[in-house]
Amino acid sequence: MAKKFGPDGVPVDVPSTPFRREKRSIFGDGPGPRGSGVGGSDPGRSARRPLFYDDEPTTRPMTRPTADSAPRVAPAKAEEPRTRIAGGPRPARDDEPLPPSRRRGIDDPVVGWLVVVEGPGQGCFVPLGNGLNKIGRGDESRVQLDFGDREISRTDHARVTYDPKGNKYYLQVGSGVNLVYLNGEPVLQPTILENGCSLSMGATTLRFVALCGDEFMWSEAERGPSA
Amino acid sequence: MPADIAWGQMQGRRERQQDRVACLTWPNDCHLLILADGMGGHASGDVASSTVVDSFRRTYLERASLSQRDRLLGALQEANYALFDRIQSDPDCVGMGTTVVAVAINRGELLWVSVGDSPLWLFREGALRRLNKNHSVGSVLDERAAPPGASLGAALLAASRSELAEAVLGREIELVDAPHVPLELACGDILLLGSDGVETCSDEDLAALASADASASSESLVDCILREVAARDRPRQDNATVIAFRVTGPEPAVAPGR
Repeated sequence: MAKKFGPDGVPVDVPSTPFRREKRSIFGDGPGPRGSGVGGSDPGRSARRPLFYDDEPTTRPMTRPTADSAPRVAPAKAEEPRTRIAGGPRPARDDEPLPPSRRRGIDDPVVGWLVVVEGPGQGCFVPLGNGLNKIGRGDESRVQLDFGDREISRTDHARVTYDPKGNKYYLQVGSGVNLVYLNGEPVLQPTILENGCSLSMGATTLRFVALCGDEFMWSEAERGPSA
Repeated sequence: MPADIAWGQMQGRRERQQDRVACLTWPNDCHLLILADGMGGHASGDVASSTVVDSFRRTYLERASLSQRDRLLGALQEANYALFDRIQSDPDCVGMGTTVVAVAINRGELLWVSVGDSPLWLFREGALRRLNKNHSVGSVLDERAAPPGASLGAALLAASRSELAEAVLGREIELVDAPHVPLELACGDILLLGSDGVETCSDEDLAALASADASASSESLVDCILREVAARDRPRQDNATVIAFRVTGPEPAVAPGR
């Protein structure tokens, strides 16, 4: 079983420690390496140092008057260049707002289904085809699982493979950071997927329904050249 | 496990305080610490960090059934969507973003998610060690010869080493540090989370401050660190925020059947 311990009860917010403005390095004054230890602060410098504003806790972030009565230095002068993101502005995400659920047809015959049994889109299903089925929320995914669960990766959250030669199904995790769970356990390597297994990804729980098995499988001619 | 937690911040010489923190502690000695260092937009770095911290904690609280790692990653993802929505609804917010480092401590096991360059350190047995990856361009390039995604790769090659390679920006996050295997904490360990303004002090200085008095409260350690940063009197001192988490006792035995 997956570990399910975790926080219990009502959490308490730890308040911030008020920062006392006392300008004395325990390493001695100035930016040099630690030195004499005691003293070293220059009262003159401290007096003309009204630039460090004590901050309040996070509760009122937007409009906080400075508690300091001393005049503020013009921020434009004092301000360090803002942290920049490499590459400058990247284009906005292209998968928003959520597109209407457009499913690309699987050209070859269906070999199984994933049915949403819990989470957004409960009761819906998506068909699986021969070979490798990459599952993602985006419409470029072969199996598009887009019923509103935005915790599902856009592409390649998980992969279900049907091997027609061995007549078996496999489940493995996709190429992103998100995990897929099989019967509650994370899938870390390709794992045999049995009919009726429960998969979960994001906030969605799926039941795997196999078409092929001991009783039925597509003939080689029917399943076409793709496999 | 029982812990002594404190946090504090100072504005430095910046116009606004753009760092945001949430420290939650549960009666059964589980803990969640979140720190976000906002940036960008016209004046909205603080909007970004507030949005992300609020959404992160809300999602974490709501998702009780998932594994800890999933909970953290889900909360990160939800926070990213919240930021996207905010940017969509407010033109002033275009270009804003934030780092985020969030740690969850359950039964003495530490897991984290981290995007950006806000450090998470472990002070143990006199030594300070950085736990999370640093997503500055320099660090990312040092770590891997081939950058991860095509778009990010090109961006990295064109950027200077101190720029951020990744942050929470309301779009796909390509670099997330989220270990699968939890770190076991021991009594006496101190975790430090900071915004990069704290790195005015070197790791050695921070280690010296933490070792100065092993029994000092987290509150006094936070105070010491911030005073030390202030004492350096950097002309362009960035916002500095630090969270100290000191393990004060062993994880109590859990009754069977729980």
